[in-house]
Amino acid sequence: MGHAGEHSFGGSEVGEDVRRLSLIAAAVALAIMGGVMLVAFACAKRSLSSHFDQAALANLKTSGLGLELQKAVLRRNDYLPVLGSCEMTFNVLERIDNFFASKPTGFRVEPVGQAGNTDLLIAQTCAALGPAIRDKKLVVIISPEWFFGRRATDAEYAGNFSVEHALAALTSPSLDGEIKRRMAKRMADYPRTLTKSPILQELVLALQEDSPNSKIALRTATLCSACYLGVLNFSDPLFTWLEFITTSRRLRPIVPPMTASGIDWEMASANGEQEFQKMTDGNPLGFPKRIWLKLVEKDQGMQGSFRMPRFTNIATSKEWEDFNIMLEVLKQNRAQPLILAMPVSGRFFATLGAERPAWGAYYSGLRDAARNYGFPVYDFEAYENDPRFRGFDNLNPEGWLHLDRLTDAFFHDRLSEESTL
Amino acid sequence: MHHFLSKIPNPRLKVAVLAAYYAIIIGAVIYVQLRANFASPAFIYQAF
Repeated sequence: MGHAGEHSFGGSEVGEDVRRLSLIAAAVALAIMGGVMLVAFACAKRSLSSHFDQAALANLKTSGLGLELQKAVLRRNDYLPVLGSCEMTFNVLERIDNFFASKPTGFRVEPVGQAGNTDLLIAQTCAALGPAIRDKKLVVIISPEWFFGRRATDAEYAGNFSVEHALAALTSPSLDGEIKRRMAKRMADYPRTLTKSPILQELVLALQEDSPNSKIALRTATLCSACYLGVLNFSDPLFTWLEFITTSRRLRPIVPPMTASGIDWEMASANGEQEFQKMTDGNPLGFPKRIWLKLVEKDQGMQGSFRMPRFTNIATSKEWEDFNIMLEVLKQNRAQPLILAMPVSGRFFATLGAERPAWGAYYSGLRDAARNYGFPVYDFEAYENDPRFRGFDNLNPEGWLHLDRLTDAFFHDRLSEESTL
Repeated sequence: MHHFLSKIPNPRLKVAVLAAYYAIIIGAVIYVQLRANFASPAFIYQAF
């Protein structure tokens, strides 16, 4: 009995030692990880600062999902953010960020956008940036394809969704409750993205209800969001830096031809024509060569992409609600946007048998919204049958040059001089 | 882990090894949690 007692006393002493060692080790580990994280984030932030221009021009996915780099760009007077979607990733020499990369007239363009980006996501980005875009100029490029479906698909939305943007948008102090409710209602149409954050889920639910309980839930979720946003803001530079150092960049900056008074647009257009011929071999629809071949050969695998959209969706698409939410967010944040809407691929759809009035609602909807908000909107309807302006799913060199010219005028407060474009 | 630790005679070395083990786990958990906020399933635009 005595031996058993001594043995059990000895055993518990060993157990105590192990527990004590584990506690000390855990405390040391937490201190080490805390230190490592602080150093890593500080180094990432410093590295991004020293490579600022490269990072700002890189159109990184993580910087698009975060806010740190975008806010840093907005603090500069020689950068103009341009928000769009897949056209920001296709390789065309006259693409807006390529064209202004050498600062020909004193500014560069920060490209923000990936395939699948739409109005609702741009609205969340602008809402999240909040005071950072006050009195700041920015350009938004609209694609008509956004309005061809009833709403953006789950894959498109999820592929560009940012928890940080959503939380910051719904808790922004510079937006009123009504616009937040409208955003929350639309976010709720994509429930899979809300599962990324329980706080976001509760916030969206609380914003949609109108009861005393929901008000308490809203305050609680807002407080939790603020804490969580602090963590996300802190970690943002690290992940942006990781993508920056591991991604090969394919920017092909050009130096636009210049005259004594600015960019030589005629020469730029002549250069663009050469590139257009190289890209398309002069096919009548202005498609890139490989897409034209697939169309001509009636490639079975690609027939889905050459199908005519349901233009009847345009009038009732939820994209209009998203477009209006975006404009309202820009207005409440007192930003100065320029809206550049790509024209419909009119000639292509005419070859499929569609008639022009089928998509007329796209242009009329844009103009109505422009009138309501007073923002400059250019829709390039006159160029919808010009293959040099627009090909299959992207702008061709001449199209980009039109956008570049308007953007240059916008930055230098000379838009009224370019009204003939 | 404890079997391995019991072979280490020096208590300070024991703490160091255990701390390193915990640090790796904590670091991995934090990284995965934070990374999830900056990762979206890539929407692959139908490329030709």
